[in-house]
Amino acid sequence: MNQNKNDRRKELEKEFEKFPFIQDHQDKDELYNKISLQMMEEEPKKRKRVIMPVFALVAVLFLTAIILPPILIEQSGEESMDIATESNEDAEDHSETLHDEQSAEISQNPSEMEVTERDVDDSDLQSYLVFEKFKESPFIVAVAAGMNGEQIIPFAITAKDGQLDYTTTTTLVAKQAEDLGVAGFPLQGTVINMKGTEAEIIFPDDFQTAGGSSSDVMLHNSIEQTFQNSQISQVNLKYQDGRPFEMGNFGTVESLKIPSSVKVSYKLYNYPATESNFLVPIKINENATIEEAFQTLIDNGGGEYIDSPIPAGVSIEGEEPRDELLSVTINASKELEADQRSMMMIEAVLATAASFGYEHVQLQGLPFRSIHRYDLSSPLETPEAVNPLLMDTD
Amino acid sequence: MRSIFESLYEKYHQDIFQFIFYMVKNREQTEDLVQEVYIKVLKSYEKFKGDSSEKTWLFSIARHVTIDFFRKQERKRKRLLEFFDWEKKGEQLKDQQPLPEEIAEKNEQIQILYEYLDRLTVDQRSVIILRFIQLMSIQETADILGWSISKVKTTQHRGMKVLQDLMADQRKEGDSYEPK
Repeated sequence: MNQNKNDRRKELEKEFEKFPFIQDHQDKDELYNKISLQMMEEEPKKRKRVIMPVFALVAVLFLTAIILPPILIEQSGEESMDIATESNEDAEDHSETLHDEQSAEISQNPSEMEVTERDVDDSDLQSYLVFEKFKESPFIVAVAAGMNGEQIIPFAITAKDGQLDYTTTTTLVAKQAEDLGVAGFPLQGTVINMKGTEAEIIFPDDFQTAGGSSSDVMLHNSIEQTFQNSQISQVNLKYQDGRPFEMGNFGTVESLKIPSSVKVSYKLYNYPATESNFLVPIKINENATIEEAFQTLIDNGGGEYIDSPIPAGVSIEGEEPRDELLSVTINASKELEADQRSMMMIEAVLATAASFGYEHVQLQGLPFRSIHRYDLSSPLETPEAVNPLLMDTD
Repeated sequence: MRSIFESLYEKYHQDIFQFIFYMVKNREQTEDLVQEVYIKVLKSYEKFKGDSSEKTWLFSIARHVTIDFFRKQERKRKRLLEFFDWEKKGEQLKDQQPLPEEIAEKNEQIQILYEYLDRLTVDQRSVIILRFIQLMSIQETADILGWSISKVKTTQHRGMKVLQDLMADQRKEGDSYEPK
């Protein structure tokens, strides 16, 4: 019997030896060129702050906006967008937020509201993540340029009526750029079509970047970020009249490849003139370990208006006990509270782990068992997207 | 950089390509992942201390790149984005992969085994490919995976058992096999 088994195993091994040799037919020089190009693109860009004219205009508009009393803005009745990240003081009845909807949904489920005596009232806490688990509405990803002219901030936009159209959405959300504290939405007004693993961006015939290499890089990175977590591996670009797209200093760009994986650390984007914070992906070395990604979270730096989401005196250690689960231990020099700061730290860790491909994260070392919608006694799901916004298209 | 690339290419390129191909079963994806492997290797070549052989170091990077890819794919597959109508496409993707030409030319037994590789865990598949297709020793496999020899043996044993059981079931059913 055993002999039989062994024979079969040997036979199986022999079958594998008959597997064909799979040869790469790519040309060696062509491969080398692709690799060197990609390596050049990945080289850290110089930290040179370039404010484009459009950014300056938005900044002026923004200053005007903050001088006006908020009541005038509310009375205008022209608001078409509700922003999930508005401060609680500014939140009016008409501006139902995605966050509010999530809180309402959770509050209907007592099991997810289980708190210990050490927990504080966390009903005011705000989440910056979108999860499949909570069956959140379909969203589209629209990316904004940070006021620092360097970072790209992705938003997951949901429509109240469920109707989403990329062109309309980006046009409407762009009107809210100054309230959000961002410089603009580089892909505003474009049309996006998707089929299988390819997407097509159709730019208006008169589409122009603000000029200069930084705005070209910003546009390039915006396209990459828009499709980063999707099935799309190639994006084709053209103008409405069919001409191939001209991307400033990059010249004619007919298509862009979307990298299959980009490791990032999610830090806080905080434009001081607004009260909004957003999670912003900061690209890190592709060889970086999760430990290094956490260290990037802790470190200051990352650019202007970028803060660490980790409270001072906190260290984070990651360990992978099995595939797709990451165990994270948080050590704090003084006791952490279940407050917005801790919430932001947890969400930055979850989003960062997601960019490494982890499905779940088990958090350890926190002095509370739950916070907002997170039950810390079980592994937490990693998010699908960051920075939810709810758009009212009425 | 060019000379390092040339040297690695001549020594290991086709083996690395084949390993990734049998892991992901898609030529275009393999080409992309091989590029990623070179980028990682070239960026960190100076830091390579020679604690392991160059070959096991390269294969180890190739495996990590492949696992990162699987993780990403799994996450994408699970996304429910009705707006983009990707909900079902992720599920369909795997089934729609045609047999590569090289496998389609082989006998039915090889084609079945090739399909059955998908039924193994990523770890089992890595071990089976390294050991029986790439013909690596247990020690080399352990070095690439960063495992102990006994873990390689156990994983290999379990993987082979899964395949043996599948083959036995297939023989019992006696149905004619229709490759996709």
